[in-house]
Amino acid sequence: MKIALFSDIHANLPALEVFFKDVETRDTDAIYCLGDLVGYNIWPNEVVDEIRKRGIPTIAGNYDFGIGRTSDDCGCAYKTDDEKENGKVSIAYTNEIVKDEQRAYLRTLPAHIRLEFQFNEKLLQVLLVHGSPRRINEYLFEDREQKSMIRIMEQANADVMLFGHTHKPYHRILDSVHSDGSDHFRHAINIGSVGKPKDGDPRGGYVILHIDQDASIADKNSITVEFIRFDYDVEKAAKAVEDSILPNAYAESLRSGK
Amino acid sequence: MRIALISDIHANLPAFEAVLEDLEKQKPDAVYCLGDLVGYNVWPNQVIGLIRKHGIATIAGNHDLKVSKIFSSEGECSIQKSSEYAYKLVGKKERDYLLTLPRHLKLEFQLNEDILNMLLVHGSPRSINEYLLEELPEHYMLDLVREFNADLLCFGHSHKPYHRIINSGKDGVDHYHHLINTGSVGKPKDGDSRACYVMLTINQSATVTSADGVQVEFMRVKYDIEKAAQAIEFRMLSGALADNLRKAY
Repeated sequence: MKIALFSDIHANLPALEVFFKDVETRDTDAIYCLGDLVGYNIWPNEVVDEIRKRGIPTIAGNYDFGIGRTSDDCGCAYKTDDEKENGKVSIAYTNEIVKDEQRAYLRTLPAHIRLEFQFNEKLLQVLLVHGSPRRINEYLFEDREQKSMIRIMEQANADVMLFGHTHKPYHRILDSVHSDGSDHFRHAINIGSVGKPKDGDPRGGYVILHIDQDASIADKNSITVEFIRFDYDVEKAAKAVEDSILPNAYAESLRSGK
Repeated sequence: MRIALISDIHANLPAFEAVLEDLEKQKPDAVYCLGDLVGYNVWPNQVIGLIRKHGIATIAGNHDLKVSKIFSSEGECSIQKSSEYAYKLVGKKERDYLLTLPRHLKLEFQLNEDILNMLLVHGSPRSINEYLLEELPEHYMLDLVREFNADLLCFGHSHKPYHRIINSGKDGVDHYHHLINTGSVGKPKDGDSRACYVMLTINQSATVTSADGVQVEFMRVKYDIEKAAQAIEFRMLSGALADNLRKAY
């Protein structure tokens, strides 16, 4: 089974359109979206519509959670005063332009989706969350201490956990050894961002998860992840920011991928 | 949020195409399929092709797993009627698809102060083969939804659609559970020969303490039954299966 997973589109329609074209060429079996459809650009309604039109199973991101409730808080961890000021402009602007129907969709998105596989009489739990299983806006960066990462996955009963939110893709395999000494490999997979990458590569990003009949917690190579990057019209998305009341910092961020 | 739930297509391409056409008009926000894509008719690969093309999130049904023991008869020529014929039609790629489908899907909603768990299974959470019929005693269903922590339990398998609300609340605090049998797209057995699927609406007020935030609508869709029935008679199996489609039993 080939499952495409994408997230953090952030109202970037030019990036989303290329994502759909790209994923069509990959012959995948299913597509899931891990949230943050809106914020930081001018096409929140269009992005919601494109995802709804395709009936894609989608969970809520922190920005969707905020806009769904017409809140002035997106749950984002802005550090500097500039970031905070810019963030206020973005959420106020998004709240202003998102229409009732699209807001109602965001308001009723599920928080998590779990896929329970069974191979060779053994269960394999795949959990989709936006930030972490504990909080919609918790950042799970790649350098998090191994113990802490394993604990989060154990508590959530996740053998494979896919998430977004940080916009920095990675695949980390963690061995939570059983008491009898046998391996229990867990996969923590950050799927990156379609519309606002922050890993220094301005191209859009998503993943394809490969699960075949041999998939098992005992074999760390039995579950694989493909990281896909695609070119899109970054300039169009950046210009749209500059031509709106959104802060120009968001345009620069699209151009630099940071 | 409006979620379409389809199930038990059973290789009936004319029925599935009619449902897809109806879904285009209905425009649900998401579509899930509860398994049994194959068996009983001649278009398993075409049905799987359409499910994959639309990227519909799907779980395995008991008929889908039958292909693990029955191998494709590619290259062979047989004139024997066989109950295995419908499964032998499944191509290699399609077989791999069926055998790697997840067994269950779980959606966790946190729309208000509580958590609303929606569990999608083919037969029952206990077994892919178990029939959860409408007339099962309430205490049995209460044990089941408690054991699997399911506030919305969605399933197919029996081909007989229903929506039943039960209450597991204690000490005056209600806790409602919705039991939803989606019916069958390709082989209805409830006396109505039209294809059947469910449109589920989850309102922002949805919570376990009230039954009102969730609505279930059974959608019936006319399709070319004769085409599906004649395909059975012409290509394969017992005439009884064709009669099943015409009379919905």
